[in-house]
Amino acid sequence: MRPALAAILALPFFALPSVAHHGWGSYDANTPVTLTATVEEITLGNPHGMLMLTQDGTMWHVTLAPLSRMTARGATGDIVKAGTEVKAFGYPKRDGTKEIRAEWIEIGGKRFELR
Amino acid sequence: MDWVWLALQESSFAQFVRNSVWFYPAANILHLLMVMVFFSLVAAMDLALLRVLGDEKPRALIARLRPFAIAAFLAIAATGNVLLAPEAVPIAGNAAFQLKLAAIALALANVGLNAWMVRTRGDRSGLVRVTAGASLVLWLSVAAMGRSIAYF
Repeated sequence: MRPALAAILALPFFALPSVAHHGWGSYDANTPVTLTATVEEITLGNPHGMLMLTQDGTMWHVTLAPLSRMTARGATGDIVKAGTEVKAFGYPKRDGTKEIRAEWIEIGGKRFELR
Repeated sequence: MDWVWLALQESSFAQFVRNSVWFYPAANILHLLMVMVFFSLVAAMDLALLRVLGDEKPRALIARLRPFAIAAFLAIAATGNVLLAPEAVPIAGNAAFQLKLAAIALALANVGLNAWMVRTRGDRSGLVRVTAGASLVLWLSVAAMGRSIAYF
């Protein structure tokens, strides 16, 4: 195979980590945020779930995974619900919006990987 | 127009899609597969008109493939509505989605123009080739805009 063609065909594999996830680029993976607070509001649904919590007077939106993945990982509505203490680790929006895209959430010492 | 998106987003159908565990991902997968099927059929017809592919007379090939292309298009539209419904209002305000709708309108108008040219001027006329080439570009643009919705 000609080197130029091989290079073009190989390109997607190098590009994959940065573009494979929906909207990955708008979150800054270099400044991860960990939040620990009580879930105030939650919606589990498609295209992805979302919960809200307040830490140090700031309200954060925590973007979760699609319902199918939440279910597959065991993070169902009877576990992730309003009033529950949750620890959420994720990457914040680059534009400064108080939103993180959660990599994992922890409830009662149990960690649910969302990516 | 905004009330249409709001009505869709607040419909019981959208509610069902939001709360379904597998319906949404299944629609997403089917949408993607039907896009592939649709574009294969479009490419076969356009490349026949461009005399790049196919020994068969382009008109006979088109007559044979068009019903399948229309069926695939309808399946894409149906599954696309499933993906749109849960967040219809924000998606409707998304620049990539708006461009996608415009590209679909242009692509469909182009299909009409192409069919009319084939009928009135024969399948070897210059405008038939131009519209066949435009068809390939326009439908690929639709797909590119669709994928871009997640990033804008």
